[in-house]
Amino acid sequence: MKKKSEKDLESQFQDDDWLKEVYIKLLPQLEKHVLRNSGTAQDAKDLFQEAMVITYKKTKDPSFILTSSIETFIFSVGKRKWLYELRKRKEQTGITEPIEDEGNTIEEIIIKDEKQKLYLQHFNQLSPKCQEVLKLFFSGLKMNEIAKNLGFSSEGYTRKRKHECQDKLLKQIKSDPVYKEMEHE
Amino acid sequence: MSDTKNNLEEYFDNESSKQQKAELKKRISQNEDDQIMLDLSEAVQMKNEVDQLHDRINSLGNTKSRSLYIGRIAAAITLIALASVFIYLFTQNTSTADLFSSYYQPYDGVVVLRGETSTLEKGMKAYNAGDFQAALSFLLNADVDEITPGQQKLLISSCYLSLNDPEKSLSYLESGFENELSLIQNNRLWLMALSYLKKGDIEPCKELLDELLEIQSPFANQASELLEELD
Repeated sequence: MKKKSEKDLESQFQDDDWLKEVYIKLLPQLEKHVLRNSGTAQDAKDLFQEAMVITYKKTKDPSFILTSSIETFIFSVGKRKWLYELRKRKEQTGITEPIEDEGNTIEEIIIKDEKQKLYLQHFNQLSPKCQEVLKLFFSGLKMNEIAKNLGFSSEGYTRKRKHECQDKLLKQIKSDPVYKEMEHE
Repeated sequence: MSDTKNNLEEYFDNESSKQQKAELKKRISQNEDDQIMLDLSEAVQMKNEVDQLHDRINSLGNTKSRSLYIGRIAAAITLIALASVFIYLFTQNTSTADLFSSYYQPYDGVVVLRGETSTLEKGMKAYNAGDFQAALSFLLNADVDEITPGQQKLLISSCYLSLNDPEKSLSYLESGFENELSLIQNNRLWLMALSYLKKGDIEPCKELLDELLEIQSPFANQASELLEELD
């Protein structure tokens, strides 16, 4: 199978016609899978969204190599994600059919996505200033540039502030029972 | 701690090369705190894009959702409806057979195929080529894991209808659609109405067309036009 470049895959998600086509093709199949396994039609719709977003995020990873069709990959993500949801809900999955994917890759992608959602929740609880400092840091600005941007008096103070925000955030995340549970998975 | 923080600072530094970033990423993965910050940075930077994607997918589920799918059918049916109006104006004597021909389009089955030579794939190839007899032999034995039972029934019933067997078409539409999406349910009602029309049973056909109007189905316009013609 011809491998699509990272850019091709990414741009596919910008194509509304393609998006509709995938929606029409995959949603009924995911719905069928979910309805058979303790879920509802609404669960299937949510799952479709999640699978699309997870795949989209993955296409941004330069090391990502797609060895199947993108639709097959999205469908596999959806199935895996539903298994993960059922485990979270502590339900007997009863899913016996093998889920075909590339080893544990999809499982890892899903867990990373869950973690990122949790990190974002905690990030959103930080003060607006802390959020700003970290956002600017993530975007590649140097400490003196962050200081200038936010009107801080010095580079030293900015560095101190960034460390405080980061430490506070890490403390919150690491004390979250959901994070602890994910770490043991 | 300061070393690992330097790793992060270096990673986010726009002057780092791709190769350096790959190396730094490895080092960062050895440290729990740094890995959290790196994962968070991706999430923060992609938040807007992800939100936009959510919005675009959400909009697919609204009234205008599935418009690509419905659009194909609607466009075909609109053309056929216009043609039927044209014929009506000139003949003023439209038979149910003519009406059926004007409105009927085989179910536009959209099925994910995985590049394997499966029974379903063979069936869909024949179906799309208009060889409904061959399509039937495959679709009746297709692996239903690849499509929903409702989709399979719509395809089979379309084959029978295209082969002028409305009785068999109806037998596949009567039940087994309880857990299907509304789009599939709408297609079912429309195909049922056309099957009755093909049989010449006007009353049940009209009842189904009324139902399509009542539920504001994507087929409502066609149903309304057909009802007018039947009256």
